[in-house]
Amino acid sequence: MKTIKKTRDYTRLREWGVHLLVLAIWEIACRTAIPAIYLPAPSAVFMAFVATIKSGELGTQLGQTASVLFLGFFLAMVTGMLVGVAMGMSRTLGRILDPYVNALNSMPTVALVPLVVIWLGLGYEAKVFLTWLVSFFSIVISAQTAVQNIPHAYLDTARSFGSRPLATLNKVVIPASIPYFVSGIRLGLARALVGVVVAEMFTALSGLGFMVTTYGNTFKINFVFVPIVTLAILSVLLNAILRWAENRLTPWNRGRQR
Amino acid sequence: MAPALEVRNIFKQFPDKERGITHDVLVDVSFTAQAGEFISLIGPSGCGKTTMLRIVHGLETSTTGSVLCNGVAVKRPDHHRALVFQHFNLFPWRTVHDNIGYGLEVRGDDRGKRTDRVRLMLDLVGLGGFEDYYPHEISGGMQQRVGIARALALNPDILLMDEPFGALDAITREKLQRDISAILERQPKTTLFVTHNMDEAIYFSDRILVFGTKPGRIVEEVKVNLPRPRQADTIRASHEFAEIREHLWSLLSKEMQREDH
Repeated sequence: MKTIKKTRDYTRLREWGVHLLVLAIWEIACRTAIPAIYLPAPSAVFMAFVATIKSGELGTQLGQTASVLFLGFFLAMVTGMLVGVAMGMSRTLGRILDPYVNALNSMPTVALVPLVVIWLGLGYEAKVFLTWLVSFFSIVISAQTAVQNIPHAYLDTARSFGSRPLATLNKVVIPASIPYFVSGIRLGLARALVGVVVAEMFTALSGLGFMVTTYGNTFKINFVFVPIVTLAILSVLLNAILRWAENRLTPWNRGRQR
Repeated sequence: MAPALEVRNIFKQFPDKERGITHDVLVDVSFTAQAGEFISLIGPSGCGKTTMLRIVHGLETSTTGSVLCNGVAVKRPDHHRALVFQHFNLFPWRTVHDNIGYGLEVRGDDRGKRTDRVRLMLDLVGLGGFEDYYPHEISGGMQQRVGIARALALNPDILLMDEPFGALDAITREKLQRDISAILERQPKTTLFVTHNMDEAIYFSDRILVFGTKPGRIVEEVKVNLPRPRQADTIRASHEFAEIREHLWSLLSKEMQREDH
């Protein structure tokens, strides 16, 4: 037991060593060969972080981004699951909406940004709407697929115990679909992150996307890295939370192949 | 007294649209079951015995004919008849406890009543201590115990079993047969049992309905007058058992020859 733990600690140490080595090489390369206009040194990025945190800029913009992301994504989750489940339950509804959902899901929704700006302006609503728009359809599709592919045996069993359609939806269709819902939501989240940043870059008033554009336009390259790194950390964090939630929601699916 | 179950002149046809014909799945099937009687439906695959069971349950409808359960016509599944499936059909997202309580939940029993009943069933099928396990964490034999407990929890008038041991290995099958037999000795229940295992049918049944194929129909009704309680080992060694088995085999092999032609 003890040796295993020791070996694991040692491996960890070695991995961290590699990461630090890469950072060191990067730093040296920037100081000797690469002009700062192309790639900032890690130390310069760190200084930019300190500066933006101290001035409160990073906090404010991160708050803006998070607020748009969470509202837009939350709305996409709720509406996407409702529409997806409805489309999965009703063959007619599914057939009618399928082409639109498929088209809007597979096209680059970013192309709709100018339209959204004309309709809703450059404010908060426009950004929330865009975030909703890019993540909504993938959530719809996975919810629909889940409901359509409920094993027949489950429905047979429900009917055999005299279950009425509403109870079957509640007690069988929804719980059986949860693992698929979660994967749809994870997909949707990835898209929502893209959506919120694109929206901020276009409307260019606030948020991490706005930071990217303004610092990029003024060639403050080390400051451009601040929102980029923050976004990377944010998405890793959100994915970890989703995975945790998935485990909590489907304890029966743990260690089980589907 | 009215019989617990009355099946009258059931015909079932399936349209085969591709070939433009209809298949006669069941032709003029009639039988009755008295309260507490154990009846097996045996026959080669495709003889409609499972369809017959599902019609009695209400999961499928007959083309003509009627099913009366305690004098009331069966139209759809309800808690008076409970079905045990060949492949268990447990819900993987429910624990053993909640799977057993599923039928009670659908019926609308309140939580307290449900918990009491489930606890009783857990003891009955010998699964005490496993109530918080999920189906994939327990063996096939245990899963089918849950399936049986889920059906018995409703205290149905008629218990329907569709090859309940069919998906189990030989040893588990043997063990579960003995346990189910013991449970039914303690709590007699009108039972319809679909199988294609002759030994199983004789061991459990008061009567065996032998089905034939093409079209599906009852070929003969075989009475099993072996005394109860039955001990699996002594029963199988008995002369009567061998005789009934021989007779069943002659009926079934004749049906299978018909099918070959």
